[in-house]
Amino acid sequence: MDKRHPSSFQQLEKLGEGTYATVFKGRNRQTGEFVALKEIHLDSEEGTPSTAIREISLMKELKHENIVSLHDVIHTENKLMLVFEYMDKDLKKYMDSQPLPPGYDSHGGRSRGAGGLPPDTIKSFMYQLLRGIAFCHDNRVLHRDLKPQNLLINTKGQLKLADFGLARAFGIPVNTFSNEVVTLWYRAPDVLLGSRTYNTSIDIWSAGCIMAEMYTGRPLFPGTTNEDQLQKIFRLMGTPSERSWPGISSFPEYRQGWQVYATQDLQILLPMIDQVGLSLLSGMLQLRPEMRISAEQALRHPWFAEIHQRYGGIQQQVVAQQMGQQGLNQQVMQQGPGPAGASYGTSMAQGAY
Amino acid sequence: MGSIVITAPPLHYQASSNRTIPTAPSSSSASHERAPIPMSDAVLQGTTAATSGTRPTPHARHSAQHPPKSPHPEPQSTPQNPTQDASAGSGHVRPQATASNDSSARASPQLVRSPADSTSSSPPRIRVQSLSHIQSFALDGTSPFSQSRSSSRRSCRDPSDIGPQYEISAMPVADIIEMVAGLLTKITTTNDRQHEHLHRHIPPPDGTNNLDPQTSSVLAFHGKNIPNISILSYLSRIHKYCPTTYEVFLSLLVYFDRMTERVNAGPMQSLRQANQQSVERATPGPRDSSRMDSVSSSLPASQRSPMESRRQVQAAAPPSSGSLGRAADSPRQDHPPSSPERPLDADPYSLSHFFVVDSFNIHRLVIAGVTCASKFFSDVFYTNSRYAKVGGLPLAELNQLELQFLLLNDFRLAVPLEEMEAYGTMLVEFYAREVVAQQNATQAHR
Repeated sequence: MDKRHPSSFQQLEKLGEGTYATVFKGRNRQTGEFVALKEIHLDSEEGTPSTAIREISLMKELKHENIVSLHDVIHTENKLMLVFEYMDKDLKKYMDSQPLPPGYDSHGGRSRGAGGLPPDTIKSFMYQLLRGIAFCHDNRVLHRDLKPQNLLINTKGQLKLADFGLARAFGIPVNTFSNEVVTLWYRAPDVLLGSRTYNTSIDIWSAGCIMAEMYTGRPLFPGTTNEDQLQKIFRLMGTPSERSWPGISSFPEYRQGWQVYATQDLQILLPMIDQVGLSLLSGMLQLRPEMRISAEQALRHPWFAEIHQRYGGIQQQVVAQQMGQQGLNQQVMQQGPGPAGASYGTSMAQGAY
Repeated sequence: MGSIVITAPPLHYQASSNRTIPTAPSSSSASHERAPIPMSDAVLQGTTAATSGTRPTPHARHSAQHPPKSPHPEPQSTPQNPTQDASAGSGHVRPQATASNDSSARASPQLVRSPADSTSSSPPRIRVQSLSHIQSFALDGTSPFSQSRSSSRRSCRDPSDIGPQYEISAMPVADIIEMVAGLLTKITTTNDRQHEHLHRHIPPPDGTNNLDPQTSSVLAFHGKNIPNISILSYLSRIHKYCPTTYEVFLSLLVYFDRMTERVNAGPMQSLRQANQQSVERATPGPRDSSRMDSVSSSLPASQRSPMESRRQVQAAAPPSSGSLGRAADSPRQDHPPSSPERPLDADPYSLSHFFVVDSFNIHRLVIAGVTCASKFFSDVFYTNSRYAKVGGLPLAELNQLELQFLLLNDFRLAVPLEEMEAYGTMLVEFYAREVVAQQNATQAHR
């Protein structure tokens, strides 16, 4: 049971406010270690929020270096306090804080906002993101709310998945899944079409959107409504039809009168991406969920070959065989930015601070 | 065994529903979230360990937080899940994966499917359709359930002989509820009997301040009286007004086991030491204890989930030989448990540290468990004020119980698929044995 008391932590500045929780930076009075304190108000009508129940239950099982670590749960009369490892910022803030390299903005032609991230950083973040996703999926958990705000970055250049309030376990057939999941901009087309039988591929779609956003610094599909979101997707990926996507007409949100767009070349939108990266990205942004690449497959994609190589080949085997388990894999990764410069994280770490 | 009624499903179901569920508007349409919930008169009265609050006003309406989108928010379709498909094996028949209508699948379950419907490689998987399906294979002369069960199936089984796995996700939720209710009824009935002999000492409310938090968590569920609504009626009532998926009901068994183990690991440890000597001397040994420590104790050891064997606390628990199967087989006389229990009597206080699922706490455990599990498993769930009304207890008390339930489970509500499947199998085996026991009893009577 809880041996700790809220007073074991010194509450520092507010880090953010969500729909059901407020997050503060905190300091462990005994160890001096920084933590993130997520305070959840217990409403009398609703009782303990389902988001809290899911987040705690799932994060207690998901121990992985690319998933934010839940240290403790402290309960008082009318609130729960979740104690997480401290991370410096989320990917959104990280991107916003990126200085534009000289002359960089001539590429994208963006009018304002931050620029994209350096290619090495993107590769490192994508690798870590996919590792985190693969671990979740391996443990039969769908995150269902991947977006830059929910990916946390620390000073070591590590990226970790956070906010499992919408996540749920899957694997047992017969379930009703809500389609009110995932922030609109990162929501997969099958979910937008009203699917309630989606699976792990919805997280991959989100990851694809995030990858593109890291290149441009702007969301790939910033829709305003369900309809508008679909239209923005179709405009780039092409309007699907019964021919390109058998069965699409039986989705609840299928419409006869969709404007027909031809498929665009992603390269035009992302001039800075290399061909190998492009092939991975298009694997993730497949309209049909069954065509989307899995997290495991994505990790084995040639685009990550250099990351594998830096681990002297060990990583490759480990990724293939042990993905999702904390074995050798973790030891290798935990060495972090070592003297040999072995970490994929090093290249971006200085950029952050 | 008089109070354990597992008769032909429809009769039992209706008999008890008529008795205890007040007349209610038909909930056949999508409107059940708007239907007023009738108060079941005085379902749950006060607990010994304090808690108070006002009873909700009888006719206030509470609508669901997330109203179900379809008349039957439970089984709608099968998620396209590659992992699941792969693990299911070639002989595993998938349900119609059409997202269209679940009602057709539910309305006419295929009553009989041969148990041989499984892969030839072990262990066979049987996709159970309904209670009558279980009855049909339980009473089949070749089934393991109909043979002399005392020896073959449980203790002395060849570990390599893995029995069939029963996959229950295709069964109507009402059928699963009936099995869960049957099991819980049996457990509580058996454990109630122990109370009489053990003089279980429950400290008065004012004394709870001195107790460790875990003990007061346990006591929060203990009512002064046994609610006069049967477990089956209670579960059915919950499912009627807060419909949900079958995992919610099945997982209750998992949680009750986990809580029991967690709570009892401590006192059990010290008790073991105290007991050691007397156990060595006493002839029948601790196996005489017939308390049901574990819902899953009816599982043969070989079928226990990996999860369970992994847990350390399991080792600290005594052999729960008073398994369900045994209680069903051997006509037990109501004699007090023998000598090994003596140290318990010697220290009645320590007994209050134990967590035993019985008729005094089962209803509160169920409503708190359903509230938590629905929020965890299902995208469709309701406000606590609705659960409180359906459960017949004050909102403030339910909120408290919900938190205690989470604490006693260490906030871990995730159930690995394998563990869930093992409980499903255990439940079917339990029900099949009951069916056979009942038939034997009927035949003996003639």
